[in-house]
Amino acid sequence: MKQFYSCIDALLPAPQPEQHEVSKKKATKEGGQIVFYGAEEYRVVDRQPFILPKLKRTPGIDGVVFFSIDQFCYGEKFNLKLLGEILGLGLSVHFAREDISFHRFDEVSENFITLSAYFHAFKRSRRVSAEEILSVLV
Amino acid sequence: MSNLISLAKGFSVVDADEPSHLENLRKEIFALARETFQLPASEPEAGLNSFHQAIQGMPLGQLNKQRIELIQRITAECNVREVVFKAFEKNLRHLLGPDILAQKNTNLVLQPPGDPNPSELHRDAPANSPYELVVWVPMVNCYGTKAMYILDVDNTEKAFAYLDANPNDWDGFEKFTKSLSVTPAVNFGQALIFYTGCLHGSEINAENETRVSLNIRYKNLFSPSGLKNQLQFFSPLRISDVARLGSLLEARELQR
Repeated sequence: MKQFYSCIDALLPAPQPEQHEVSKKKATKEGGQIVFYGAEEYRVVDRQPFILPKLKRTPGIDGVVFFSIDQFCYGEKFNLKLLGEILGLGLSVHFAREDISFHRFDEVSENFITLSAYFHAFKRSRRVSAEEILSVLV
Repeated sequence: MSNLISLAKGFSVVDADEPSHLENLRKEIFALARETFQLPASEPEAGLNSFHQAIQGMPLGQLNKQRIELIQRITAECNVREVVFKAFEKNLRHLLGPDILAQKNTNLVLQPPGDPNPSELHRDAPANSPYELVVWVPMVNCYGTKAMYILDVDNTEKAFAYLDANPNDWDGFEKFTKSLSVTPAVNFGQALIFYTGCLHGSEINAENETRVSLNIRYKNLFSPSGLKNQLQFFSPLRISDVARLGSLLEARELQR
């Protein structure tokens, strides 16, 4: 059975027990179980400094289950660099809420357009966007 | 061959570009429904219209369990998002552009005559994206109370003006809203395409046939998302070369 690290979202889009439940379900779907868990410090969620060193010093794991892709969207740019570095360790990366998995970086590249579109949609204010469209139309 | 439609009023009934896509889809869905519910009929149109006769006396719990099983099988085996898109591709591309996301799961509605749980009055956006379209595809001819009612954008505004003025009068709002609605007949081979901001719903089916319909949502990849998580709810269906090249460049830049 595969062993996964679970990294929940410190900004709590869902309460912690809910995040653990969803992450556990994703781990099971991927043929494994959660064996450790952690989260970024609230004040540095935009940079995600905790998870990569933690994974490097945690032996015997096959991958990491994040609660949500949102955790890679809190900075000014989508944190593709971190995603690449984790995959570069030979670990798989899973997003529980979105039910998305990556095992190699070329899978990320192939799907990057949807991640990028999500990032921009995540950042964009619908009200501002609607005002911009109206300003062009009127 | 259908003409390009206008969605200025918020909805339109449109003919399929290529009806054979829907005919094949209906055959597949009917075959799955026959297996799931042990339907006796062998012809899709009659079999789906008389679905209520086959489930008479079935306990509600069992009916719901089998209905969910059917929906899961349709989503897994019928590729509804692709088939419906192909059937109405010209208009969907015309309305949404070249980069299109489709809902991951398909919704199937089985509404037998007298079913006391029709779809209540609502609109999809918010919380869905207001830049999204719903494609409502009947698998049988739908008319009267077997169809759904809908308000155009102007009348939806009027309805909400009533609610703003009478925030505690939901019954009055519902009555007023229904007085502004229309119930377009939508035949098999057609779809009702509507903007997510339009109020809509259905009445208790008082016809003698079961309504069987699919509904699925499409949006442009780059349009603002609603409160629903875009990656959770949608996946890509069509991506233009420009968008693909742009994303590859963006990905390279982000790794530097």
